[in-house]
Amino acid sequence: MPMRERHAFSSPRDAGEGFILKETTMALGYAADALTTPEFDADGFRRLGRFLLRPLWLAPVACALIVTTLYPFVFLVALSLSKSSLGKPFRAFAGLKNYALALGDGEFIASLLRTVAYALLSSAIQVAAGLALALLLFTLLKGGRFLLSLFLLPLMTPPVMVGVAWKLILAPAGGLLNGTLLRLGLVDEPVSFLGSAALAWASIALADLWQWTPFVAILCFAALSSLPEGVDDAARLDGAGPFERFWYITLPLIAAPLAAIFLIKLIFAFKLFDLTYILTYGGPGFATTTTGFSIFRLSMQQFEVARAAAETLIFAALIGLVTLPVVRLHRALERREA
Amino acid sequence: MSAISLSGLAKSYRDVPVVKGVDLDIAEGEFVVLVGPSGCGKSTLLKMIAGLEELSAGDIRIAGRSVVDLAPAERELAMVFQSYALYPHMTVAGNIGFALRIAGLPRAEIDRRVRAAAATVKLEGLLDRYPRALSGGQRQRVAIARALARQPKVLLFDEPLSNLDAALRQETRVEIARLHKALKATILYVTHDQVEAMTLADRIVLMNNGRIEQAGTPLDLYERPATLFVARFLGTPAINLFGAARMGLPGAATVGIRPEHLLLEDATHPGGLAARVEFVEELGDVRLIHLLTEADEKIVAKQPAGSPWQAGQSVRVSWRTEHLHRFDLAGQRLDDAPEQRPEKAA
Repeated sequence: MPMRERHAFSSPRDAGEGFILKETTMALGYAADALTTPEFDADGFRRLGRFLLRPLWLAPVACALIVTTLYPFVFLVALSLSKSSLGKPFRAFAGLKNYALALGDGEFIASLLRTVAYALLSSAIQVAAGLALALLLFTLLKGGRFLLSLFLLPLMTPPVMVGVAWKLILAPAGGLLNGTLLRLGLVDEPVSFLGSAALAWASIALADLWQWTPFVAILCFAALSSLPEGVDDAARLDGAGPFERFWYITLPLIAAPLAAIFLIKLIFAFKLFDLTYILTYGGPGFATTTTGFSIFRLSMQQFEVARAAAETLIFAALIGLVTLPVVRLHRALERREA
Repeated sequence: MSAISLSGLAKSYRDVPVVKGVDLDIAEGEFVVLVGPSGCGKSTLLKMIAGLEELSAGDIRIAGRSVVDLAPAERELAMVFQSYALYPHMTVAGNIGFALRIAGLPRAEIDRRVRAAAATVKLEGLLDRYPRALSGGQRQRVAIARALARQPKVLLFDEPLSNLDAALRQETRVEIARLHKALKATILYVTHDQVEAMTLADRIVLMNNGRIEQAGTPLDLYERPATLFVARFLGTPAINLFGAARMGLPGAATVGIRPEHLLLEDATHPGGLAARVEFVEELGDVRLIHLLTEADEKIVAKQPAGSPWQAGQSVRVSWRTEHLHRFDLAGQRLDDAPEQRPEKAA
């Protein structure tokens, strides 16, 4: 009886969900061959042995995934379905009660909307600003890489320090910004930047912009560097001015990386926490309470870990919903280029 | 009036001069090939004419009008890039018509001119394709069609064939020659390939080290190289060079003779240089006989197929006086003086 044909190696493409299942079936197949085929010789056993060693190579990744992703996720789902407090988790099964509570809470829904609006808007602004900065560097000095590394400074500052620095800058009494505005005579009395909803959001956005735009600019610079050679010169000869070259040539050619950069920034923006924590503590009122911050307060201050878990899962689902179109867009743009 | 007129054109990067004062007139309808070794400044010169590089000094006139202060697009020329530089996100039609779209032409007119340009280079069936779906040769033709669509006064080519394989290069070369004949366009063509230069040019401009070494018809340059550099640059295999003193030619420093002008006789023959055949390259239509003279000079003779020379054989090498090229110490050609002593080596 001829041995069944099996490929010793699968392509990396196969390393998806079906991978483990396929591996297992194949291992069982080898074992079955070993038991039922008389011709299954020493060589066959060696192959079986080699095959059984293969899961060992996967073990590190599998362990990491289980510890960092699978376990917390299962724990979170279990928590959200339970009656728990921080001190005494899993006291009873609560069904979907936590979800119902969360979705019935106007303030939670409001925080979700705030967070989504802030993430989309701030990311769009930062990608636009970062791209403008990168274009400037790219055209002004082609050897602008040195300047680019200076750009990393804000990025290397711990977020908490960024928050503290901006809090000092924005402080009504003796703050740098208020002092300057007063000296220039632009205002008569110190402005409470963090005291009104609109200004507080603007302050957070400004600090966020300061911290993240350089990073976006570096990514944009890399995207610009990947433009095909000569295309810009060709467009110049074809009579396209700077704006037309940007609009018809550069932008379409970096659209795919730009979508990816936007996606990264969007995910970062959803995680906004430190700046609200330091600058406004979610205030005034709940005006700058993002979902991440509200979940933190719910769990760590009110010890409502079960409801916090439910809110976290709802939030995660929402992030997926918002980022999905961007992922799709990125894929579509990339396919266009391939 | 000349189509292009360059006077005193110079370019330096910081303190490094790359183009050192170039004067050149190109007549309307002329096919001029700028050729030279890499780094000789020929591509820089082309980019200066196109307006993609600033000048350090000099003037460029196109159809009598100084274009130094004009943007590239206003100079009424088009360029075919070495990398083709097609717009990867536009179809073939989009590529060819981009300049017209920017110029704000009506759609029907753009469409008409795109089709006309595409027909010139036989691209009709491919107008809806993207560059990524085209072969190297087809991309090249799109680049040419894009240049033609603008109906420029002058066409610039920057090493357009260097990304093609040998067979395709030959084919495209013929295609470009045909195109020039059909369009009667003024063409300035940069290459480092002497075969392209010899076959395409009405006039070759050979550059070396930022200067024009010699300009003239291909045969001019081949038969009467003005300098040692030109003599060495053109011709495959390269010209054979001897110290003139050894050859008994007073006044000259170096004497050159092309491989096809060397005459071989067997060793019993009187006169000529004694040499030994090192090895033979068989090319089918010709044979390249590599020789080593008694003074250890390596020379090559081009002989017809079927000539009898074999490796290891001793031969006598001679030539006809009118085939000698004589150069002075500075590498400048010495005009053929009548009093040379024929065929007798020292």
